[in-house]
Amino acid sequence: MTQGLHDFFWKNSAFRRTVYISCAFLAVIYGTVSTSVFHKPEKQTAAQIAILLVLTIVSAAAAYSLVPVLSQLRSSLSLFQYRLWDFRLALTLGTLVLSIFLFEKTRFITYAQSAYIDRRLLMDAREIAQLGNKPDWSAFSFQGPIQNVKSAVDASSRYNIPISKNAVDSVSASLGRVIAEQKIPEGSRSLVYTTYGLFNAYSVDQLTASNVQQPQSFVINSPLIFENKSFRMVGNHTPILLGDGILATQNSTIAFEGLDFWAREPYGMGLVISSNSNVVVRNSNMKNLDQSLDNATWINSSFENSRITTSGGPLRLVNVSFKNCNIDMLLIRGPAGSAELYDLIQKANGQPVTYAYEPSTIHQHGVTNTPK
Amino acid sequence: MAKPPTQPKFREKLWKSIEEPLIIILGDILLFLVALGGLIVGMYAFPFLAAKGMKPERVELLETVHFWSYFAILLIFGIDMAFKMAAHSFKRPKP
Repeated sequence: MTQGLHDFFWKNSAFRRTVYISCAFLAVIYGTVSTSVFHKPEKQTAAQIAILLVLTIVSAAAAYSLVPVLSQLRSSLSLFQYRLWDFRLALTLGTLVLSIFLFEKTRFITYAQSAYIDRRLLMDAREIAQLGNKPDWSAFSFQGPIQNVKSAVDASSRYNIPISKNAVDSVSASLGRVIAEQKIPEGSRSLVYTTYGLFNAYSVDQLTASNVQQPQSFVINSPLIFENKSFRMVGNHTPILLGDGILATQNSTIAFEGLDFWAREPYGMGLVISSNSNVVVRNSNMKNLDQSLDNATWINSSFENSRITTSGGPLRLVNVSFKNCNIDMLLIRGPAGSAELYDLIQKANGQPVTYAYEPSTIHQHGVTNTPK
Repeated sequence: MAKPPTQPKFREKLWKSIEEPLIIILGDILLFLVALGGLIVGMYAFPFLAAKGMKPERVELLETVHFWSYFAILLIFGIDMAFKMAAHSFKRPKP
């Protein structure tokens, strides 16, 4: 055994270097995926790689010493001996570069990333669903899969990696269910709400990517109803004045980004979003509106001089601030959960709030959709 | 009258004892330096790729791969040297 270990590290350079090259590829792939896709801290990833490499090299050395088949191969391994002047090294490197070039041109990497993220998301959805079934959830056990989902969404948005509908539905169902049951551990709430909001926004972005419009500012003085539509409107704090008309959505998937919705005086009719619509409002300022938060995801936005209501529909807020707003209606006729939102807004005192609400009845369907 | 065999000098004895491991270690060090040199040269390719119009997120991804390549090579070299020492120290003398 000792002699075998000695031979591995001192004699058979060909076998040892083959192991090292494999280890290097493994470490680079692991490190890149861990930090770029899942946004794990570099120190943590580095420690994991160090352990992984030590274990792999020790295993290879032990296998070399103990497994007779490998020992018999020792003599034939000289075939793999790389020399700097050997044309095979150049051929290997050339093939590698050509493969990367072809992968880039054929979008193979994007497909591979997409398949990998889908698989991870399905696993995370299953894990979240299983955690949700346990009577005692701990914040620690919860944060792993939720953080994975958030990282996957961040990476997918950043690098335009598509996520399959199956994965989107499964994660939405699992997250929606844990939010509906309102048993999220205290330490994980903000993370869960943020992830749910961003995930929903990502799914809307994916559905509306093919129809992006850049509107000029306009005044709505007659009913403007978007029915069975799917589009994204992107502005740069473009003002949309809600005058005498209304802006309503019906059975539509719409993303409003960088549009500021204003009414002339408090409290003008805000966006009317039907329960069968999915709307995302991002990077927007709302002023003087009478706005129900239901059936929408509000991200990095603010409300000013507005009256805020909910009627029990699903809602998601990620970094949304409320300044000088009338939120009394949340207590007067709000459904379950709106008292919590009321408290949150009161305590925030104009600072951004992150929150999500899902009515439990909707997620009876979601539970059955959870992947087995 | 035949001369008695001369005792090898200290320098010869020293060289004989370190010749084999030194050649092996030098081969490994040379490979390590070649890999490191390749990575250092590769570092200068990123501004070129960016100037040629490669998407910034792609360049960023390549930079991440480049960073972990440095890390992997340094770590493997370090682990190899540590285990070489250990294997050499614990080697049983041949009967």
